[in-house]
Formats: sequence, C-alpha cells, structure tokens
Amino acid sequence: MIVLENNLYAQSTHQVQTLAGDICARAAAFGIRTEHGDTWNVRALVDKAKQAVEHVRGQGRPLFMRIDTYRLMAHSKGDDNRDKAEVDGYWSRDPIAAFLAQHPEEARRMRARIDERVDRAVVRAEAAPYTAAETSEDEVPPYRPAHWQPTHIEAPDRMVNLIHAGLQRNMRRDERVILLGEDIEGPYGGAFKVTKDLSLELPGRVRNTPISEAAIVGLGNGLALAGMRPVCEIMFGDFVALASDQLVNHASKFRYMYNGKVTVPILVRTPMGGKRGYGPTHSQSLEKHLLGLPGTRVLALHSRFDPGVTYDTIFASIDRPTIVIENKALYGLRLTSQVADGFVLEHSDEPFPTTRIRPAGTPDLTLLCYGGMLPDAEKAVEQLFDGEEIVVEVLCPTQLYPLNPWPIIESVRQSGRLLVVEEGLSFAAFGAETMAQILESAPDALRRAARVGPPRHPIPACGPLEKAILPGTAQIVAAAKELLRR
Amino acid sequence: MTAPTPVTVPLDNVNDESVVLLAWHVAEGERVEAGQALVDIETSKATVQIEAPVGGFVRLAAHPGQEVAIGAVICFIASTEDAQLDATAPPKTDANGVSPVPVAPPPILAPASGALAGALSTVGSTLGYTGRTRFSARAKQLLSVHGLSAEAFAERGLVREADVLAHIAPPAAGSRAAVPPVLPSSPAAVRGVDPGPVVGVPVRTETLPRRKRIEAKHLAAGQVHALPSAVIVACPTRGLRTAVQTQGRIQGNATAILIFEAARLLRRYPELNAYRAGDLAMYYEEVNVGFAVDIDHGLKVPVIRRADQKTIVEIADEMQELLVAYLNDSLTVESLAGGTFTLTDLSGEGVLSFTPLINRGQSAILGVGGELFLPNSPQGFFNLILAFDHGLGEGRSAARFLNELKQRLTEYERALEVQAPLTADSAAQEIACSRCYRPATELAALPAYLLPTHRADGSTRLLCTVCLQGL
Repeated sequence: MIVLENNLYAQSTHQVQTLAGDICARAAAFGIRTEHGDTWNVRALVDKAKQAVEHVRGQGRPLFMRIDTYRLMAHSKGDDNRDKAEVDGYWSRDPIAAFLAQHPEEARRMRARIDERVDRAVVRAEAAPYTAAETSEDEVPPYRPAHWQPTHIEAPDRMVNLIHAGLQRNMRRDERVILLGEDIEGPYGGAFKVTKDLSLELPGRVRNTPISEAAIVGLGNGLALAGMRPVCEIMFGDFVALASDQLVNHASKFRYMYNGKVTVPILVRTPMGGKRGYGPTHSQSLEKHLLGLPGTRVLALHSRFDPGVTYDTIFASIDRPTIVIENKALYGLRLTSQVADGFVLEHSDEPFPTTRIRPAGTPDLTLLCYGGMLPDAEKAVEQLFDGEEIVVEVLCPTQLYPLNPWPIIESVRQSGRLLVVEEGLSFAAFGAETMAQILESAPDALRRAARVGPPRHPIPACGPLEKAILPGTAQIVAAAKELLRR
Repeated sequence: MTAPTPVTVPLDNVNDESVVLLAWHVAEGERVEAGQALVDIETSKATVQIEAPVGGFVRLAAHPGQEVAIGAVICFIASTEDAQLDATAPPKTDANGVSPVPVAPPPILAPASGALAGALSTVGSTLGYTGRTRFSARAKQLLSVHGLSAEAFAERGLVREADVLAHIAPPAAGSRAAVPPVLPSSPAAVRGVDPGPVVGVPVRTETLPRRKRIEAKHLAAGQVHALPSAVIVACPTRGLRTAVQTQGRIQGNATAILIFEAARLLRRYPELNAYRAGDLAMYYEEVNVGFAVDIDHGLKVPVIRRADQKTIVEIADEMQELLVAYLNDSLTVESLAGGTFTLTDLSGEGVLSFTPLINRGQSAILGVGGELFLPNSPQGFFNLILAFDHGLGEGRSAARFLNELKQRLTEYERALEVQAPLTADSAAQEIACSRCYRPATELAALPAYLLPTHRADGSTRLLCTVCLQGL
C-alpha cells in the first residue's frame, strides 16, 4: 500500500504552479487501484484506510491512497510565505487543534505525559556516548608487501563465457543470487549475451525489467536489504547515470544511516567503454563518477585474470554495494596466461588481485591501467622494448575503489616513472587519484608521471573519429617515449 | 623418496609460444614405462607425441584442449603411486644437458587457499626468469651481424643492444674479444630461441671473402634481419604448360616440375642452398626443398628431401602424400624439418609478383607468380622471383639462376620434338648431364646413365635418364 500525503506545497511552492493532471491517475496508469481521503474527516479516513489495508492483504495487490492534508507549520523555519488567512483557515479545521480546544483538561494530561517521555529520552541520549567513527576500510591501508604468484588461467576461454560461467556457478550455489536487468532473459540473454540462457536453467531468477535503471537498482536495494544477493545489469554503463541516485544516496548510505544494523549486498554489473562505434551515450567509461563512495567497492575486470574467479570472490564475501565494470571490448577476448617473451604474468594476494606483467629486468617505467586498456598496454610494452629498448612493467588492479596503492608503489620505487592509461576522461579520474595517493604515501618514489586518456570531448558517433580519440597502443608508445625523454 | 619428474612441453618450433594439449594416452595415476606415449600436443606445425622420460606413476597437470606454454609442466611422473607433488621442487636437467626449463605450478584454482597457496606463493616470490629470451630490434640486428646464437642469452629475459655489446666485448676485458659463431652442435641447441640452420644435414664450411664480410656488415646496418634481396625474371608459360600436359602422372602439378628443376639447378648455385653464420658461409650438402602450403589449415612448409635426386613423378607423388597429410592435419615433424631451400607458389592466388621472405637457416626462396597475358597474344608469362641473402649471393648470380631455370622450363616445349633416345657409348666424352650437371660417375651409382638427345636446332646434348624421365 502506497500512501501519498498531499499537503499541497513543496517547500514554498503551491501545487497550482507545478502539478498537471491528477495525482491518482498516475498510479491508475499502472493498473493500480486508487483511493483517497483527507485528514479533516478522521473517522471516514480510518474506515477507508482499514478497507485499503484489507484489500492489499487480501488480494495481494498494490493500492495507492492519496490523503489530502495541509502543512500548518513552516517547512523548515523562516520559509513560510503563505497567506496567513489561508493557513489560519486550515488551523481552524485541524482535528487535533479542535480536540485541544474542546478537551483542555485531557489535553493538559496528555501533554504532560508526552513531555515527560521526551525529557527522559533527551536525558538518555545526552548520557549516551557518540558512536565511535569506524575504522574505515575505505582509507589507504598501511603498507604491507604484496605477495605475488604466477597467474594461471584454468580454462582459457572468451571473457563473456567466463563471466557467464561465474554467474551460473554462483546462482547454482546460492539461491539468494538473482539477476535483474533489461532484456537479460534467454534466448536473447542480454545485449552482450552474458546471461545467455540462464533464465531457462533457473526459472524466475533471471528477470527482465522495465527500461528504468533507477527501478532496477532500487529494486535491487530493497532485495539486498531483505537478505537477497541481487545482481543488477545496467545494459550500457552510460545508463548508470539514471541509477546514480539509488547508488549514491541509497545503496551506499543505508549501512551508515542504520548504524551498521543493515548491509546492502547489491551487485551492479555494467559494460563500459567504446571502440564499437556506438556513439556518445553508449561508449563512455563513466566509472570515475562511481569511485570514492564510502562503503562501496568498484571492480574492473580485465583480460589477464579469470572473471569467474572474481565473481566467486564477490559472492563469497559481498557485504556492500559492489559495482563491476566490464569493458565491452573485452567480452570477445580469449583469456590466456601466455604473455610476451621476457615477461612474467603474476597477481597479488589481495582478495581482488592486482595483476602485474613483470619484465625480466629492472623496469624503466611503470604502466598503470585497468579493464579494457590492458590489451593495448601489453602491445605497447612489446613495441617499447623491441623498438625503443624501454623496459616497462604493467600494473593492472582489479579493485579501483578502495584503492590499495602499495603494489603500484612497489613498481614505481623501481622505475621512478608512472604512466597511467585510462579510456575514460582523465580529469579528476582514477589516474589523478592514484598519482595523488602515491605522492602522499611514498613522496620520494615518483619522479615523473603522465596520463594517457582521450581528449576532453564526447565520444564521436563516427567510427574512425572515435578510434582516433580513444587511447590505443600508438598513444601509449608515444607517451612512454616522451616520459623517458623528459 | 625422489621428487616427481616434471614433464614439460618441448620447444618444437620457434614460432610457438604455446601448444594445445589434444589427448592423453594415459590416465591419472596410471603406471607408465620410460618411452611410453603420454600425450598428443598440437603445435602450430604438427601433432606431436610426448613420451615419458622416466617410468613411474602419472600425475596430470593439464587437460585436453588446454593451451600450455612452452616449457610448462603438463604432468609429473612420480616414483610412488601416492607421491605428494611439491611445486617448489626444482626441475630436473635432462640428459642432453638442457638447462632447467621453467616449471609452471600445477593448475591452480585462484584465489588459492591453504597450504597450496603458501607453496605457490613461495614459488612466485623466488621465481627468476626462466622463459624464452626477448631481443630488442637493435639487439637482434647485432646478433645477426655478429652471427651470434640466441643461445648465449638463454634465460636472460630481455636483451638490449648494450647487453649484446657487453657479450661481444665484455667491458672488463678491455679489448674486443673474438666472437666465435655458435653452431648447433647438439640437439640441445635446437631448443634455443633461434635454431639457426637446419640440423642433421651435413655442411661444409668456408670463410667468406673479406669483400663479402664487409658488404654484409654494411648492408646489415640498414636491415633488421638477414640481408634480403630479390630478383625477378619473366618466364613464358608455354613450356611449363606443355610439361604439365605431357606428364600425365603428375596430375597437373606444375610445382613438382619447378621443384624438380630448381633442385637440380641448386647444385650449381650452392650460395642459394646455404646459410650464413657470421663470417662463415655454410653450404648444405643436400638439396631439401620445402614448398609453402596454405589451404585453410595454416601456412606450413613440408619438405621434399633430396629433391635433386628424385624424378618429377617421385616429387609429385611425395607432394601428393604431404598435401593429404596437411589436409588431415597429420603432417609429422620430420616432414616439416630439414628444408634447405623453399618454393612458394602464389600463382593460384592471382598474385603476379611479390617478395617472399627467406626462412631461417636458409639463404634463398623462390616465388612463383600468376600468369599474365600480353595484349593480342596467346603467349602467357609468369614471374619467377628469387629472394636471397645478399650476405651470401649477389644479384647477378641470382639472376643467372633464374634465367637458367627459365631456360629449363621453356625447354619442355622443345623436348617434345626430341627423337627417341639413342643408346650411346660416348658417355665418357662428356662428364655430366647437361641439365642436372651430375657427373657420369655419380649417375652410375643411382643408377642412371647419360643419353645423347637431339635438339630442335639440330645440336645434340647429353641428358641423364633421371632428367629424361622428367622430360
């Protein structure tokens, strides 16, 4: 049952100015039964509300009830510009005011009881200590040497198949895992075929939703609060903007607002990135806008670590809103652990590992990238050695937020030079943040640094122009040479 | 208890970084004898069987369909049935004295946990680089100029120009050290990064003249690899077409005729059937002609061994067998190895002219272009292209080779007019066949003999029965 309390005003603006049509018609448009009442006829309102509740409980169907009322006091403090005669008119109709006037003795006794109760609460609150600020996992962790081990990809396969396998495995293992998203049910199986025919294997646990990212993530938030493990797919990362209120103001806040009594284990997966000719609103890498929300985790899958393993880790431990960036150019890539001669593929022992492509020799340069830029970075590293004799070590973290800068610092301590490569706009983004953290945490390690990113321009719809502005191997090679020259 | 013996993927082909495991011949835990077939792997060239280096109980470390890096462990052979696999155990040195190969740990389920994770982390943190060496372009050039083998830099990881220079003239020594070319003296050398020449074919060695050495160094400065150069000669198609038509048994295989003729001619052009190792010219004493095939099963170069001693029909039959094996993906390593010269025919692709790339360990490659017609003329032409190592040969001799080849091909037309061969006892007068230049003494050993033939212009010449069969 959804109750709309209609007090006619925003903060200072009357509905006459801003409301068109009928409020109840909005609910009716969804096929929902509507009722209305008002606070000036209390008995009639109580009866209607009772019937409405019985309807909802009896039929198991939603009901929308508009209750007309009036805000007698100011919205805040000094912001009441309403006509005094209008306000006074409602005061005279107000049932509580009328009760107080008609039964002064009983009103006095009630007021005394209420005051006493409030006073007791105030005394108790003032005596209670403030909640200690929790030691946040979001802060830069203290230094701990990373432990590296060779990366072996168990079953080389395409990225999209490995993600599918990871989701499938975890859905079979944990009934709480359900998928929500646009067009994700089989046989279509999502715009990038990640969910394939999971809906056929697991009926009811893969749900097509209306085209509303706010609804998808809002629904996920509710399910997560209720103990489920919802996985929300945002068809294109660009549309995450539509879900940002649910992520920024709800998912990430509930735990703190309820003093740690709830967690929101929601997983939001979304493909970012261009190079497919999809134009300015289906090709962006917007993850920088999602980085840094306390209490959340942002991961970016890449082509040198099994994404199925990453999903296993997520589902085994999820206790917070988790956003996974899947660069769309990676979906078709076949993962292998075979790297160029002269280099070793390793990953750290963090829960969400940092991948390192370590040269057999001291690096001249540390190349930091994540997600979809790794294949270009690797090609550049080969060209830089073969043609320029520049030895590059690649660091590619899976976890972008919270960021553990130490594996990167370990490399920068050797090379003294950092080149950050990112597909998204580099202004106030991951690279800038990482450089800042390195300078704060190890001021002497970094001598020179540069970023490779696209120009400050939307992504063109025209394929060749898009290709020209998104960073690739050539730009990385040029920037690395320049950094070594300086 | 002795540590389990790791079985690793051997380097069979320098172009491969990894192989695909096809099928196990043994099951987990099965007892095997030394030499028993363990597994089939697919390299980019062929399907290869790996045998057990020792007897024992097999512990699999890779599964069918898996891509396995060269040098990675595919299984262990343990001395007892329930042996514990210790990922930290150092790999064994094999009988050939090959240095330790990198041992990848058994497949792990990352993130690893518990005791296994600890063991693997130890491997990771102490792992030096044991993979194959990468050379920068400038380092490769230096290797080539100085005739150095990549073997000298095994397990060095990344090698730059300065590293090669330091190897040539160690700074501590103060003086420039003599740089002996590293020759493939044992099968072990074959497993290095650069196999250099063909192994198993005897060579005779001559020091290149000073003029040639200086030339090579100068030319190398402008080249990344070798010293490739190419010449092209246009050849009328008529002769070759006649040959194909009259050789019923070769089923239209013009390439067989080209191999037949080129192989014989190569005996007189040793610099085109050789390789260069620094200041030395290494001439192969066999003519093994590889022919490039690429019909949707990958580019492969099967080899006709001793092609200069085979008849056209023999060559055509052998090609037929190799092509069938190619199409069945069952070419053996042996059938791809040992080439000393290569022929690549792009006439079927409609390519008129191109520059073929010389294979490693060789000094020349013959390219065949498609047929081209002159306006208002039924007479077709095709290009014969010879790419050769200018460090060994020269444009003039390469052109002469091509012109002779052209001459031989056009002669097929005239050969039709040849009268029935006469028996003759005048073999002793001429010492060799006019086509293959084999002396009569050598022919007798084949056995073959020389026959005088009449040419259209009335002159006579001697042909050996081997060449005559070709005609």
